[in-house]
Amino acid sequence: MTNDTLLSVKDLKVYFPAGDGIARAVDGVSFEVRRDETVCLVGESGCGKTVSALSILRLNPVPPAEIAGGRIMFDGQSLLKLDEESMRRLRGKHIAMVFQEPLTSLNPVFTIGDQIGEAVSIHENIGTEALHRRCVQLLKSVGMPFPEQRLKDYPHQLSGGQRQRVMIAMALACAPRLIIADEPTTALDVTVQAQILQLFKSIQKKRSMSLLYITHDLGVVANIADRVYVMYAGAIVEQGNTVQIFRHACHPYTQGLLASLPSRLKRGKRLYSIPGVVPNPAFKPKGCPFHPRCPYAEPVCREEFPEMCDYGDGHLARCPVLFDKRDL
Amino acid sequence: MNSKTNRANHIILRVEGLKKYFPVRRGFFQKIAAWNKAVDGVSFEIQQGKTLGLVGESGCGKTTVARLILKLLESDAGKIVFRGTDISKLAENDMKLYRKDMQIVFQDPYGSLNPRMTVGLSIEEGLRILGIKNAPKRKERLEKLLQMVGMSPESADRYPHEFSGGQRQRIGIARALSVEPLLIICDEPVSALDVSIQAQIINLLKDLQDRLGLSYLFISHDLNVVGYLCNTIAVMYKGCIMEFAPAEQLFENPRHPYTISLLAAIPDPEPGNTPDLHLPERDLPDSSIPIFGCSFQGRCTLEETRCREERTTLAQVGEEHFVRCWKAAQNKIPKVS
Ligand SMILES: Nc1ncnc2c1ncn2[C@@H]1O[C@H](COP(=O)(O)OP(=O)(O)OP(=O)(O)O)[C@@H](O)[C@H]1O
Ligand SMILES: Nc1ncnc2c1ncn2[C@@H]1O[C@H](COP(=O)(O)OP(=O)(O)O)[C@@H](O)[C@H]1O
Ligand code: SF4
Ligand code: SF4
Ligand SMILES: [Mg+2]
Ligand SMILES: [Mg+2]
Repeated sequence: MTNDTLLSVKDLKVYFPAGDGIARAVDGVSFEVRRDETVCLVGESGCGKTVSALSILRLNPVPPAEIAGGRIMFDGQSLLKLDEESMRRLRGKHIAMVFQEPLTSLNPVFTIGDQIGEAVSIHENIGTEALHRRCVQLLKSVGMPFPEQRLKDYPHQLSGGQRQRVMIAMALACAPRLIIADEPTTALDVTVQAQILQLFKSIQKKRSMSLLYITHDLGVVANIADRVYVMYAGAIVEQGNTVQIFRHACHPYTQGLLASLPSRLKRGKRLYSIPGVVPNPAFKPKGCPFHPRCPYAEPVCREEFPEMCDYGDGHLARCPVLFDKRDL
Repeated sequence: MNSKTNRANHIILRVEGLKKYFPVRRGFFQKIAAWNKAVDGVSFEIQQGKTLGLVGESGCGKTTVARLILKLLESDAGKIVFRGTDISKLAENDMKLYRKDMQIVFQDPYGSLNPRMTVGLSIEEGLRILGIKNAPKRKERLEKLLQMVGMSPESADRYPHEFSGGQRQRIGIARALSVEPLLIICDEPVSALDVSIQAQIINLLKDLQDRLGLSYLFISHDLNVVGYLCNTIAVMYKGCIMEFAPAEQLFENPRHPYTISLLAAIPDPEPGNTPDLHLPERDLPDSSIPIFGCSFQGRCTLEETRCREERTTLAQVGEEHFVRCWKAAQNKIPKVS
């Protein structure tokens, strides 16, 4: 952990009851987000991205969730030890969250103005006039056309992209140091997605803010990330900067994901496809959880959970088999 | 046989001027206040054994086009020429002849499979339609179909909820194949799937096409998938085809401002390959306000007065390359060879 670190998650374990057994949804996840940095957490559905993100703000209902281990440090504070009152103060003020489904996270019976106003006044005591000006300015800062009129609208009167802009405006309301965005553009069209990504970038240019961006879309990752964590079956399997991950992927899963992306440049060639499916977290294979799908698997992979191997310059991958072959 | 009729023989499906307007009702008496021009004069053709990609953002009318072609929805105008016959006016009874030749695979196979029927029974329905009355024969066909889509024969006795999204999509494909169709309309068949599973299904669709000579109408909003899979691409916006071209042409030399903005918005999985975009900051304008002229106005960075005053037409700008924008058409005069 460097001085620069804003958020650090260490060996986080979040379990759920699943029938007779337990679903180890998040099983020893470690990552960090530095100041002003954009970090992407990428992985296929069910690998534990959302559960990890919600744990940071302690939004996983306990029970059924059980925090089975780990430590989350934010700016010197241990979040898992914080009392509920301090946690509430932290949410929105220092760490804000943007979700995939803006319609379900906005209240249908209140206007946009009411909801942004609420987000501001939870943490700040300002007069009606000033509050109104703040709301207009927030909507303007997220590129909303006709912000004055929009304040009077209800969520259903806006398009998906506009609703996501409102969510981002609310997240920005108290100038948080960290925004956690969980698949914020997955439900949107590509052109709208491009606008939202551009919006995050331009906000970061204007003021100091870190972004933890969760997605399953590698194209989005390449577009926005400084550093990337690839997740599989509840664990980080590879981490590095964008060039390390996209040009020099060292984990068979990351390599497989990249190879299976379709593009017009691969026309006529067969797409690589990773055989099999993501394991159910209640029945994870022993050893390396990727072994049933891995073309490089060796007998040891069925027995031992692999260690992270250090390729230098912050590039790590959880695959000793390829690490041992690296210079061959 | 001259080359023109030769080509015509290879066209499995041609739609011409297809239209569907949905009434927008308002007020206490639910009077028709406006028309939602979901499909507003769509024309294209699909060559036998080839794939046409239909792309465009949510709500532009892609699924409605599919439903019109399958006659799940009655069109307001236009022709649907399937294997040389205009089926648009055919009565349900005469449609029977053509029904089994056209099949559809949906984005969410779960919604389209009967949850109370085993997978085997769902697929066998098609075999009955084909008139295979002999039960052992049907069983044999069923096993062959499952094998074709990469599923084990035991899957036949299980129910849809017991399968993953990718497996259900395979079942949906097997069911479509059961009646031995010539054309399969795929409506976002891989959009709900994870990348690693998406690749499996794309490969499967490609293999089946090679083996069975199938034609596809492939509906998607993912240009990476369409660019990989399709021979020709039609770009749709608010009920109209804005550009139609062979896939390479469309990517190398896009002409319509909307196509250009769509291509610029594709997230590129190569770091550093994504220059800052100059997209208009505006979202989709309100579609209930009727407009005259080009439907891309309000979002187009090149808009001029003429765009609002003149009806748009699809102009040819290259061999099999068409564009609905007077400016794009004028920039370079069509290089028809
Ligand atoms: N049965 C219907 N009655 C009234 N309006 C309809 C009906 N079906 C579709 N529409 C409208 O027609 C337009 C086109 O819808 P369509 O489903 O074809 O879009 P799409 O391009 O498939 O979008 P998506 O990418 O979201 O699937 C939309 O405005 C939709 O609301
Ligand atoms: N409330 C819950 N109860 C039981 N299992 C859960 C719950 N929330 C998530 N899970 C399981 O945890 C795993 C990881 O889920 P999630 O973090 O949502 O994945 P994603 O990476 O798609 O965001 C999944 O297998 C999911 O089914
Ligand atoms: S540890 Fe073994 S199974 Fe796991 S990714 Fe490496 S080679 Fe594959
Ligand atoms: S006709 Fe005008 S508004 Fe329409 S795409 Fe062309 S330049 Fe833009
Ligand atoms: Mg999630
Ligand atoms: Mg649709």
